Amino acid sequence: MLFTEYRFFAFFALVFCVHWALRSNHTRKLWLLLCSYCFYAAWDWRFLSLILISTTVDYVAGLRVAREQDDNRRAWLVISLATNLGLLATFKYFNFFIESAADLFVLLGIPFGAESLNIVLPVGISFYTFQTLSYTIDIYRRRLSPTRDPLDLALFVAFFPQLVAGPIVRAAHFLPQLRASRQFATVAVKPLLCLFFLGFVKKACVADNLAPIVDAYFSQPEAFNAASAWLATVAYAIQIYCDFSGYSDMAIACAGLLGYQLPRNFSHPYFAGDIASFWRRWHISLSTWLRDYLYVPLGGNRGNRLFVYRNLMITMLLGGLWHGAAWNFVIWGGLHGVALVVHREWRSRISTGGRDTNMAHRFGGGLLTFYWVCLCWIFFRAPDLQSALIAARSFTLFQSLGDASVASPGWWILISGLALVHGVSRRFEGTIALDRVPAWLFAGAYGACFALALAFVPRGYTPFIYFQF
Amino acid sequence: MGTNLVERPQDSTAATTGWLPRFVALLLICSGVFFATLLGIRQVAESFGASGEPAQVIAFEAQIDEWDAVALGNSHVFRHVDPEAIDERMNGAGYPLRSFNLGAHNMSFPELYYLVRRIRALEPKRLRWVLIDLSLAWQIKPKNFATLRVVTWHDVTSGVAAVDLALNSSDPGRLGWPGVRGHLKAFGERLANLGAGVRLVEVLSNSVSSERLKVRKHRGFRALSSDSIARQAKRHRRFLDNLDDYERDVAALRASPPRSVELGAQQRRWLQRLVGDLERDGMNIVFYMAPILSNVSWRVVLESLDIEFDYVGFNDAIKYPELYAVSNRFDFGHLNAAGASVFSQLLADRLIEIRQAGERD
Repeated sequence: MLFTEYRFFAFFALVFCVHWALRSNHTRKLWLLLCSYCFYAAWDWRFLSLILISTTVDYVAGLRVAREQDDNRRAWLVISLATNLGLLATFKYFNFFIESAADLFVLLGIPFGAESLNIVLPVGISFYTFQTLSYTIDIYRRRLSPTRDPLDLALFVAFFPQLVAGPIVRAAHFLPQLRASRQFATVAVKPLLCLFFLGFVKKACVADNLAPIVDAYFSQPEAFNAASAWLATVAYAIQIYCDFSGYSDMAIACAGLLGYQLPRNFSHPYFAGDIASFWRRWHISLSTWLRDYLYVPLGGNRGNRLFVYRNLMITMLLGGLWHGAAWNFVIWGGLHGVALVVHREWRSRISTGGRDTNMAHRFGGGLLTFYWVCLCWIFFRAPDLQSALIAARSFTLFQSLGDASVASPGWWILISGLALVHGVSRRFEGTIALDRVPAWLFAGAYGACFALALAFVPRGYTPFIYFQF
Repeated sequence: MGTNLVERPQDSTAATTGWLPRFVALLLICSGVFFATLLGIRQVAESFGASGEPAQVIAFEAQIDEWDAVALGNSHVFRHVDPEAIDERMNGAGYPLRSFNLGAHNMSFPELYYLVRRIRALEPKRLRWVLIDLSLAWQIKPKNFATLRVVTWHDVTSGVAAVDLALNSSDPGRLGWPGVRGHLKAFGERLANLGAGVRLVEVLSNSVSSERLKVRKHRGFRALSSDSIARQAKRHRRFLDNLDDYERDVAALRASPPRSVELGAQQRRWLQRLVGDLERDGMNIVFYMAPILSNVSWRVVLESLDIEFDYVGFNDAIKYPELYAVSNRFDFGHLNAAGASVFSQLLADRLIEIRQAGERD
């Protein structure tokens, strides 16, 4: 069930009405949990068992980690980590490791008999695994008290707006919200409805309309000219941003309409002046998770330069692997890691250390960052390493490998228009006082805008890109 | 945005009681404007030819007052009825006529009914002849639910007809509930004008005009042998490779007497409605069966409907041997360009006979 489908609108309308009609907080949470499980079961009910296993283990482990001392605490933490990472490794990475090992053994001339398994990747497993990990780790670090209400933990893990593609919510952020009863009077309905609409437009009207040219190019990059490589790569940069941030906007809006607050996941990443700034703006809930639960425990910024760079590279390589069980994603993460290292080195040697106020520097830095990010997206999007290398060559060296073209001037005009709208909307973000708009006028305008947006939705739904992770 | 959007200070107005009537009123305003805007967008899209209707329909409607006759049906119309050949024959006999081919691959009854109602709504000044090939199906093929053409004909009436026919218990090929779901989805897509904005941009940027010009030139007709696509060529090769089977089927057709088609209550009702609509507008209806390898006849069924009609069964291999000659066939079910020319002349001859009979009366 996608957020852009008719059936989701019907589903959410039912959830919303019943949720606010119920009086007790406990009953509301029970209702939301039931709906969340139904939402997930709409994909594949069998994988609900993985969520239930994860929830049960973390509920018990959380209580024991808080209660036990020293070694026992550590043992319960290990049980939790092993269970969650074990499920993730089995369902997401088993075939990748087996196939990579097989390739390595073949390269070394050693016979290798293990076969890959026919495993279906459970939707959202990477997202809810990171959430459950943060729960037990935070308790272990004594930054969080375990919840005694299993319902709270179950809803934290399975809350449907963020279950399948984030934002990755921290227990410390979400559990306190579950304890207090939600009040409809405090829900900012108009801004949330606007956010939902904005997310819908990004996904259904922008990302889905760009998908065909991106798909056409990356299915056969060797057949296209250099202009097509540029257009398809830039189009993919826009597509993935609109797809994922659109989903996040809709998730935040849905949760908000139910009275719950989810963290912001994007902050105009393509306007970043440098690569470090990009990672503070792109998939914020993941990058902060990696920072707090991987980079900092590895040593973070402490120690000598090489040690810090090692930490950066490990974090980004594993961040790449989190996205998908393929070497393409590892290379994508590695390229970003290299850029972060270079940027850090450059900043320590050349930069004054303060905020760069020179307009030309910021503009140049922004263009360079966008160029590098686009180059990295090629490895993220290409179906295999060979295609990625072909597309990257065409993109970086302006090499036309074939005569076919998807790059009509109309597409460039459209992309320029989108960039302009995005830039202008950034300026006005948060300045429109929706509270002053009469409710009847808002309702009418909302209906008209949605009807207009539907006219730009292509036929046939495209799943959200991040669902595969 | 996520951090400051969700909660706002509690104010007295938001906490007032009686939120339900207010909520319902706002929902009604929102829905009302939503549906009104959808209708407005449809009007704009229609006026620019961007509603998704096939190029044939747009070309036909652009010159609606030029046509005297229109042929409707599936690929047996699209591939067999050459308007220019018919017109030439008619003109030669002293009955000037301008006809158009509105046949389309896999056309089903609800789509046919949609087209008929669409044509009637335009109140064409000259149109008096409607030729309907009855070899069309009552149900659409499930794979066709994915096509834009199927979405375009799912207005309320044709949608109801499609659902009614999908649930027709007397039809062994009924689609049942999965079909109903497909029809509802198509109806929803049409209502929402999905993709109309993008199509409008395409129309305004002239990227579809060449296709429309081509259709206008051929008046909707495309003979099979003029196609160069590999899929068609493969079909023709398969026919040539299995000529023995074809000859056997034709011999069986010659040997068997016509078999009357059987209709369920729903099919009969919708057919009667279609014919009634056309009769009210004073149209002359010519039903016929294409030269297919089946001996079904509609004569008995049509007579039982108590309507004015003319019926020709071209699926008579004894009476029309030229339509079954291998040299005139493209595959088991279709004629090639030469066959289409012969067929169109036979159809024109029949129209001439009807005109002459009318003059005698």
